[in-house]
Amino acid sequence: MTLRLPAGSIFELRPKHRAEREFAQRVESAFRADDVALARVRASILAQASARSVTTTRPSRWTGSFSWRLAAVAAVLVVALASGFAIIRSVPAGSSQAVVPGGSATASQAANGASADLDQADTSLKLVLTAFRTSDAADLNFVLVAYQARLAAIAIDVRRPGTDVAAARARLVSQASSLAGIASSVTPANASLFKQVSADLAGVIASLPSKPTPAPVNPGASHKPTPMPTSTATPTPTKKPVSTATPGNGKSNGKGNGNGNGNAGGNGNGNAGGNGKGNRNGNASGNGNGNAGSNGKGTGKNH
Amino acid sequence: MHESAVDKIVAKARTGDPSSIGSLYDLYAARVYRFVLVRVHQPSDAEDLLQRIFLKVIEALPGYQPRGLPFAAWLFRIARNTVIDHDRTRREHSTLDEIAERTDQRAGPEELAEVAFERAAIRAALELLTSEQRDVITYRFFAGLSPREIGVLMDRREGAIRALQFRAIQTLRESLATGADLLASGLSA
Repeated sequence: MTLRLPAGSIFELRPKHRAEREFAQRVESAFRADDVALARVRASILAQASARSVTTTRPSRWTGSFSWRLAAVAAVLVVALASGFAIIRSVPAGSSQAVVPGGSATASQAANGASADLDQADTSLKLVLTAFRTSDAADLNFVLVAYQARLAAIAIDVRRPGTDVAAARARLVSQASSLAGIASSVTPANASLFKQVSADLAGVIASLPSKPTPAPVNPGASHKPTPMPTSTATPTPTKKPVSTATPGNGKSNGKGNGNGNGNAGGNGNGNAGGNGKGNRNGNASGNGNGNAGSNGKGTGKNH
Repeated sequence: MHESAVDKIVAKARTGDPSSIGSLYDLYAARVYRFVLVRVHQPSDAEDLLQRIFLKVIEALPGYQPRGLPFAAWLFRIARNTVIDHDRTRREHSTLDEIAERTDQRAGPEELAEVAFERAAIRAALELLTSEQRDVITYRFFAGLSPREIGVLMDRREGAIRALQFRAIQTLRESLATGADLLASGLSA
């Protein structure tokens, strides 16, 4: 005996519901999320949310790849600031002695700095390659940003006197080759950042000086002199020339002549980051040698 | 979870409470992931988009008004827009789209093949639906939204959503059954 259900009966809905349940189950099993991936994204989101709540109360545009760009900018700023602090050292008040970053060892330190940056870039690049091999999009983005920050540091350090530019170029070209090796297999999720990092690397290589920057005569000086350091010598006939040079500002090129009127004591004004050579007209002659970020030191003698 | 309970979590998350943000993620991440994966095909893209979507949600949370629009509907509106944006930019990277689809690497080759086939079959079946039906099905079965929430999102009445879903399920049922038959006949041949 067959039970016939009236048309429109609630029982007719059962097959439809079953069809829905079946479809829902198929969707759930076929499009199941990887728990590890979900956990990784969770950690990343919470870290970024925490960072944002610390830095600002009003949310800014924290979206997708833009957040990576922000992270990259922050990393580059940190590196740039760190480099800046290494360069800018305060001049002791009243000192007539040239004070240079790192003292007389600055040139070698600059070379070492570039070398250390290149080492760190090598390490960062290895992490990029490892992240790529493990096919981890999020990690790949992260290490790409770190590598990008190292490139920013290299771009600054290779310009320092004493850097072996040829060696730096060879290493950077080698890194570019490694990076190019994975270019064809980068996922769309990383493509934009990868492209940006590759462009940065190419930019650093292109901007390398054609020949090594010679170490300065004064081993401490890391910058060139400002033009026209003017002598502010006051005629002081009976006194030994004393430098009253004040610390100059800025970086400059050129050799300056200082003119001083007086019997003795010409004061050369050396400006920040350079060798200022001051010549005087008068009874006494003397040179003022100003070194990086320092006061010129006058050594005149009476005629 | 009841809507009012979700609203309480949302209220705390709006203040930047990490624990509440984590709870929201735990509630919706798998659903958002499924919703995204059916559109973008590649799990790596889906993970990236999942992250983008939740960061957008966190950013927009202070401006969210619970009145009128259920949180889930609001969240999936953001998800949908993010996927659309991704589709636009994806065209610029078309050469990279040839990369083979990656799946859970812990699975064996047979299981991977099975999952890949199932995904392809479901995507192909969805292509047979009208645009509206497809939206309803993805919101309902991938995002797990209720017909009421879908109605709010699509600016349609709940009854209309149910009707669209009913017709869509019929089409899907037929096409998926046909696909399975074709596969069975292909395997036996």
